[in-house]
Amino acid sequence: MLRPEPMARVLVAGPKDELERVIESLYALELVHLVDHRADDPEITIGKPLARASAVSEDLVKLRSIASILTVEEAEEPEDVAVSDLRAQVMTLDVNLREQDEARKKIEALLQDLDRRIEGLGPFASLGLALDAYRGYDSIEPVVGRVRETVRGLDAVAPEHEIVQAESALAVFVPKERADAVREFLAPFGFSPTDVPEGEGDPAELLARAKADREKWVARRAEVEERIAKLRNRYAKFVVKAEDQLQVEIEKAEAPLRFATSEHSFVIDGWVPASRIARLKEAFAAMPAIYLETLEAGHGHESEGEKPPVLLRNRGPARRFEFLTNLYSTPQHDEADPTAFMFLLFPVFFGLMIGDAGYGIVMIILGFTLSAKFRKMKELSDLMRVVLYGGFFAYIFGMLLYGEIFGIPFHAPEGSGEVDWTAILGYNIPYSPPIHKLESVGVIDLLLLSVVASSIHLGLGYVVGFANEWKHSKRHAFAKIGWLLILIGFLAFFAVLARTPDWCATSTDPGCGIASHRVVNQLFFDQPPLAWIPAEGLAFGGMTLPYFMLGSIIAGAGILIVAEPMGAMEIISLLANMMSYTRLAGVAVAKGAVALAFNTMFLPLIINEELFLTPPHLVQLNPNIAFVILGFILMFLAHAMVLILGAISAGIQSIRLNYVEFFLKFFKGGGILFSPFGARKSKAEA
Amino acid sequence: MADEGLIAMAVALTMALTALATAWAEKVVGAAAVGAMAENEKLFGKGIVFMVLPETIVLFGFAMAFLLLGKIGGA
Repeated sequence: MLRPEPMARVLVAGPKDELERVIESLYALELVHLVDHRADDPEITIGKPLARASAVSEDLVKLRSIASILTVEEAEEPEDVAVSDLRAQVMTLDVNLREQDEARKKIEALLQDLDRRIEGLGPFASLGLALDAYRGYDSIEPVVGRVRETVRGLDAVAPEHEIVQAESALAVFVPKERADAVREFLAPFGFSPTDVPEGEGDPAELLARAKADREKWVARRAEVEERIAKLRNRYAKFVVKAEDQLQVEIEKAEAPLRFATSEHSFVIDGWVPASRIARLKEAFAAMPAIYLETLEAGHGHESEGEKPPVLLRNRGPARRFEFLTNLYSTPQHDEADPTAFMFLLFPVFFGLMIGDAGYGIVMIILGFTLSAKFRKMKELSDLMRVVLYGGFFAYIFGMLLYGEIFGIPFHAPEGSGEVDWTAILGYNIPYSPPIHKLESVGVIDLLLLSVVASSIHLGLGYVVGFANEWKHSKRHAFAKIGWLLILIGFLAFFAVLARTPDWCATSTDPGCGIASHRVVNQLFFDQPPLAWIPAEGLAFGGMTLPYFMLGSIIAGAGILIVAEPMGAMEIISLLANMMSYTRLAGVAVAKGAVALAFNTMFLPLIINEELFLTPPHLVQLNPNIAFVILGFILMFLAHAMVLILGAISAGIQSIRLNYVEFFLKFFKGGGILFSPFGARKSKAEA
Repeated sequence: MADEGLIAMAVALTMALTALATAWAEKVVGAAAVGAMAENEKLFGKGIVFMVLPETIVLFGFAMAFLLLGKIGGA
């Protein structure tokens, strides 16, 4: 569970005429992660694709063009369609569809021409002159075009002219030598010249004819499109399924490109999970011509670039957290897989930060339903599962630690004027939660809890780091011990500072009461082994540095100086790492404050405030029912926002504590994910 | 009394300035991280790590502010 699945190297060799059968069975087995053969020996070269590869890829290209004409998307739900005789079906569909597509393209080109003609005829139709009237002059030039306003005073540039004007169009007949001057004159009126369209006769009539043509072709286009749509309805599922099938075929047909081949034989090189070797052997037992050789990993086969791929093997719910590990980096084959620790601590941190039973319940429900709903999208489904576990801890902490449901506490502090569940339910909840997020005592408790959380988390990181390094370098492994000692030293400082002092046993000092009532004191600081740390220490700058702490840090630093001299200079960064866990307190407080703010704003709409503010502080619905409804709507929106923003921030902070503080203590990453040949399930099967 | 006002100011300044510093740093890192992710989506995990690193600054601020707040009589 803490280590990735051990891998074994496997070699499959055989005569070439068995190649296709071997590919088929390897594909079906989904067990072998292929290692590509590099051709550096002229005798043993990279294999050639199977004979059908080119035909299959041709079909695939055709199918893809069909898919693009039919606008079939991958998301199309593929049903079980018979795809026997794929090739013939693709051909028929291709011919059929190509015809329609070409017809559509032709019609579209025609329509464009018609649109241009209609556009060009427009001004001439409104001018009313026959098209012949614009042509065949020797000394006169017609200046025709669109114009924005009525033209006046043309006499100034062309004393001899004839002008025909209609709305937004104009034709001026002038002597040729004046034409340029006239155009210049017309420019300020918004004149833009137009060519006289081809054809003879009345332009209005021509225009009407062109428009009629256009309508006819639009109708034709609709017909063709309808036919294409029919084809789409009929074949969309087939196309998706067929494309899928062809991709599988191509993968199989091109697989020899990854194998080593000589003239008559082939060798396939790959990795198999060691536990599944028997399954592989069994599959090839029926092929006597095939020779199968397996080597356990770690037999000199791990030169650079030949590292085994990594298959994480977490069980049960922890599986759902693998994507979080892979999001950072896939572990190396020989290092610990941190997924299990993520599974243990991520939801706890998340829950501590959300810390509200109401939000917890909502997250559990959302996480459960959405992870089922998005089962097909693995990562999204996993993410929702993570939300579910986080929500579970948010619920637990919300009930037991903070006593809060939707930002409303079980018991509001005396005289705060806040609404609490005891007042709402009219029933004194017999449990008094130990931490109130928004009181300074509670915040200090949370901050100290963060210190404990940091020590546990970082300590775990160093222990795992020690185990990881032990095989590689004893020196680096000991450096982790050094770090661990320094961490214990820092923890000792906080423990002595925060624990209930001994003299409190005989004192009634109120400070003693506060300290001994803190959750963190009851659970950790006042309990062994932390309570055993002797308090005696060196007075320094108003603080007492316990001798135990000093000893532990000096010992740790000593080890570091020997084992990892550069690390010794960064001892103080460990303190920064510990401080980083105060985000647990920070986010919890901030979220609680935002929820409280919304409640303070909107609860008075729902409840009868006057009645609540006077003793005996009864909570009743606001007599104005409109306000009650409005209040509930606003409360719903506000809490939905707090929930979503809270989940995002708590999620990111929690993942950060794992990625930055925890992973950096031991995790290298950079492994290759195990992806066996054939695992690319067709979408229909997935 | 005057001291309490000063301490309160210090608390506010600590929070505000550390938050500003964090925002500034995250702005730079965030832009670069998104840029890197556009090139290679696998960098998302590393991007997040770098993106949230500067948050430690505001957390120091939070812790210091809280300790300062404790110095206001009885709060």
